[in-house]
Amino acid sequence: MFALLGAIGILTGVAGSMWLTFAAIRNARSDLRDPERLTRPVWTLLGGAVLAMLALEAALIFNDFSLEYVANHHARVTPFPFNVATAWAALEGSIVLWGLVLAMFTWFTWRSYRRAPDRLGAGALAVMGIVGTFFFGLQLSVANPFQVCIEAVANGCLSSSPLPWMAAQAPPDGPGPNPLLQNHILMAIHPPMLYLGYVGLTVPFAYAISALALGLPGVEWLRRSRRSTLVAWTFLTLGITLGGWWAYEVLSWGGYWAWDPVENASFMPWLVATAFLHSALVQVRRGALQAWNFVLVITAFSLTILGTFLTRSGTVASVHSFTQSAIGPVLLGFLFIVLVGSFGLFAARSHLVSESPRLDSLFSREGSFLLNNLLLTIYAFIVVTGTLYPIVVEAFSGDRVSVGEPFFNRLAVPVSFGLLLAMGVGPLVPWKDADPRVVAGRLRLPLQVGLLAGAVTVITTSRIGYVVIAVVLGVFVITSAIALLVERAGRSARARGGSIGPEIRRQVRSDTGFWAGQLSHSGVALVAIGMALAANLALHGEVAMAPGETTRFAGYELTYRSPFLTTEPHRRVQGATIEVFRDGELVTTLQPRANFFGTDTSGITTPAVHSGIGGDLYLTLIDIDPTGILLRLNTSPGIWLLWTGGLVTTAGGIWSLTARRRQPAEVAVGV
Amino acid sequence: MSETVRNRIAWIFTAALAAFVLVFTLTAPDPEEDRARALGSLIRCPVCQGESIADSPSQTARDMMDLVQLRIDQGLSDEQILDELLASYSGALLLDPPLAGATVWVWLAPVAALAVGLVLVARRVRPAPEASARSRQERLATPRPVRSKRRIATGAVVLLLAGAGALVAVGQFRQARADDNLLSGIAGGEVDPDSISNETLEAVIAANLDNPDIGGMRLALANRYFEERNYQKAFPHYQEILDGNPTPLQAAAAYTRLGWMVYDGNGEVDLGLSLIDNALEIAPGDPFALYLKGRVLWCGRDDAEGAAGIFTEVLASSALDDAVLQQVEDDLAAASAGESCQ
Repeated sequence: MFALLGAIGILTGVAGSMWLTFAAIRNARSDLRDPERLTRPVWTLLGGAVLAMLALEAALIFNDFSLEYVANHHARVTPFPFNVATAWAALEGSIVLWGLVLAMFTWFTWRSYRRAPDRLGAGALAVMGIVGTFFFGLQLSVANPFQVCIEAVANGCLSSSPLPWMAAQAPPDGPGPNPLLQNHILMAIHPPMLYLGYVGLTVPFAYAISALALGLPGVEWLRRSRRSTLVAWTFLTLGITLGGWWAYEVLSWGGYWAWDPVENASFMPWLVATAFLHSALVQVRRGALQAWNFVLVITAFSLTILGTFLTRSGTVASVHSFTQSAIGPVLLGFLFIVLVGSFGLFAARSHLVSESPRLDSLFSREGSFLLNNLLLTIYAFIVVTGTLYPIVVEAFSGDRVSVGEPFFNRLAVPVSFGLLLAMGVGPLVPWKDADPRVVAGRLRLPLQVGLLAGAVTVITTSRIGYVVIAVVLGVFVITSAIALLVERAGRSARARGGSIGPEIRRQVRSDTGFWAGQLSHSGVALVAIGMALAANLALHGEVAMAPGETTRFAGYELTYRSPFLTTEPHRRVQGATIEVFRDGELVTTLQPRANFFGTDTSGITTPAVHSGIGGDLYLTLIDIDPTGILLRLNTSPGIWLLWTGGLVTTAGGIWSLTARRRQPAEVAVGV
Repeated sequence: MSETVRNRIAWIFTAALAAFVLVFTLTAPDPEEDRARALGSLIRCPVCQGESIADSPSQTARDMMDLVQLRIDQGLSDEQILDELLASYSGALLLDPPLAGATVWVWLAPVAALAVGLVLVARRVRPAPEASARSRQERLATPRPVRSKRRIATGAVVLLLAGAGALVAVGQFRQARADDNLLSGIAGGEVDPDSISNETLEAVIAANLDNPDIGGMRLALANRYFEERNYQKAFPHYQEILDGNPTPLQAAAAYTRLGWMVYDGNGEVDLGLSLIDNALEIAPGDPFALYLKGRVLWCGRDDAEGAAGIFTEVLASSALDDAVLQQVEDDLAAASAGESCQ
């Protein structure tokens, strides 16, 4: 039954998308069309998407193993909430979630269209309809999650049919989702966050294409899509932070980011979206960078498709697996259509995109935005190149090469330092043409505080260059935001004769977008400091211990008390109980372990972490037998700064979403 | 004290701070280098996804790290150690692409992009006040053609199309080389694995140790040895399958046959039964595993009664072809009659 419901949902989604496309194209031709014409298609699309998602969730919750997806990715013992999250644990289900998120963004776009119906909005809805047709079409063809199992074995499904009325053969149980994915709660929420980010970038893309196709460049498309871009960026930021956190808590190698293609797939669109958020501001305020904004937004959308292709086609593991699933070629084809279509349209309409006014000086706010865009774009370019290079080399020559962490670190670290510097200086520089003396005056205090922090660091903590630079620049960024706020509030307090406290509140309220941006900058600065500390000051060790033995590591005394073995419905847990002392006092008891899910025999090592302000103690169980354990020991100094920074950056995004929209009078219209 | 003097003193203080930090950082003693870790972080672990052997807790990575430490203790140079690792572990790769050969462009491309970017940024800035005023007037007087931008965009589209063409061409080319790439051929359903000799399969498997697709092919090869009763060769392949990342069905197949081999080859009844039980735990009711379990009970333990019960269970399952069906029925009849196995 769920197969039938799901199939109906997908078909409704396809129909709604196509209906929306045609109706919206008609409405985009003239301003006089009835806007209500789009109401029913949008609700159809949303209804179909919701139905498909509900059908999949219901099939998982009610153990309907007659669906191939359920039979091969679910087990009766999979506990809540992992049974719900199984809906996006594998390719087909994740495309259903993608479709739902896309339908939601389409609905929001339609709502703002209905408030102010015009050709630009109708055109954007048409583009969203086309993208929707593609993604629901995927579910109908190469990534159908509602295939009915027609040949069951004891523990899964061997072959299946897309026809929901086929006589189904349901296996008694399934193998359950990938053990790695049911090991931590973050894995249940991290993918939806990322999808909200990925799919949200469709909205600015749709507006850009609509503006180009209808010959309506200018800033209207930017202002209409700014909220969606911010929503997308905020969720991407959160998704990436949670992804790193999950990797740290689950993957047991003590790190959080390995420049893995799957991670890069989320980072590339984030970088370009960040560049776009800044350059859009330059166009709205100064009318410059018009063509560049089109390029950025098309690139950001294309990178989300590229990322999906990389993570979902199996091409990353090996070029050879490319042909295993039809989804790879289909996504690659779509990517090419998007690229060629968008840039072709851009070329055809470039005569409408005005020759942007040049900047008065590089030493100005817009100049610093330009440099920030250059750095972010180069950053994205480095990540794209490093990620695709092995694939391209293997496709052409058959040789296997690897581009890994050393490459990315060597290139990305200097660029990151450049970005930090720009983040600290940029907001202090006035628009148009800045007076160097004014800027120097504003820079002095933050510089002093940053350098002071650096001096404290070299005396008390570390003299490693990377750490010192990160601390100086990070503190500089945070201080410059605070100093600017205090300076502005102080000036207006003097002018009005009030006190500074309420003035700060007034400042923040009157320019929320700007100060929310500064909050995000401070978050990024915290992340940078945390990364530098964790990367350079971590200690590593390995020790074999018999029960009762004690070892010393990084100022702790660790005593191995006993092994333990527990059985839960969906897994068996084997681990070691270790008491952690510091100066003779018991700090905590840690239980690093290996979890065995279902029939899995190799086990997933799960680290045990003791977190503290000074840093984490991170224990991984390498081996255990009755005579003793082999334990890997790590410290991660300052790692909490990383999670905090990521959340602060996200908070900046959320805060700026609460800002009231700018009045049109403030906007310099570039024609 | 006047404003300027105060100002100057503040800046001198700032500069002094900067100098202090700089001197301390630059004169820092070289950190105690963990050479094994530094080397290990340059090598990609062959059995994991993108982790270095210094980070990965997997057994292979730990063996490799032990080798690194051993060679360091023997006084070998970094280069010698890296060369040995790359040569002796297939699938191990340098994570740090060398600035030479196939990977030179991955380094040069970002540098080139930065140069292009800097030029573009410079062009967006007005040259000088007078010149810009003049050019502005000119621009107002004669609408500038926008050909240049159009040309760039058209160029980009042409490049993309050319790239698409190249990819298609490569696809064709690779198709033609299907013989060299058996793996992709088999995965794509273009090559029938049965037509390939054992030796070729061995070679393909050895060359693709880190390929996740290899499990199925290894199982096919091992099963072939198993049918030939070449247990010596089948054994390590089944073990590799279990050490890798097998699907439940692959794991069950491997356990079943390992169990039969330790009984049939080495006469180890208990171990054989426990291995087959492993398989049955993974794939309850698997007819082949059940049948072999019955044979082991019957022939190894003379437990004709237990065997007969299991054979009955086998016959209850649906998916048996006629030859097997006949065999099981015969065995059931014999075991029920209390005969000993033949």
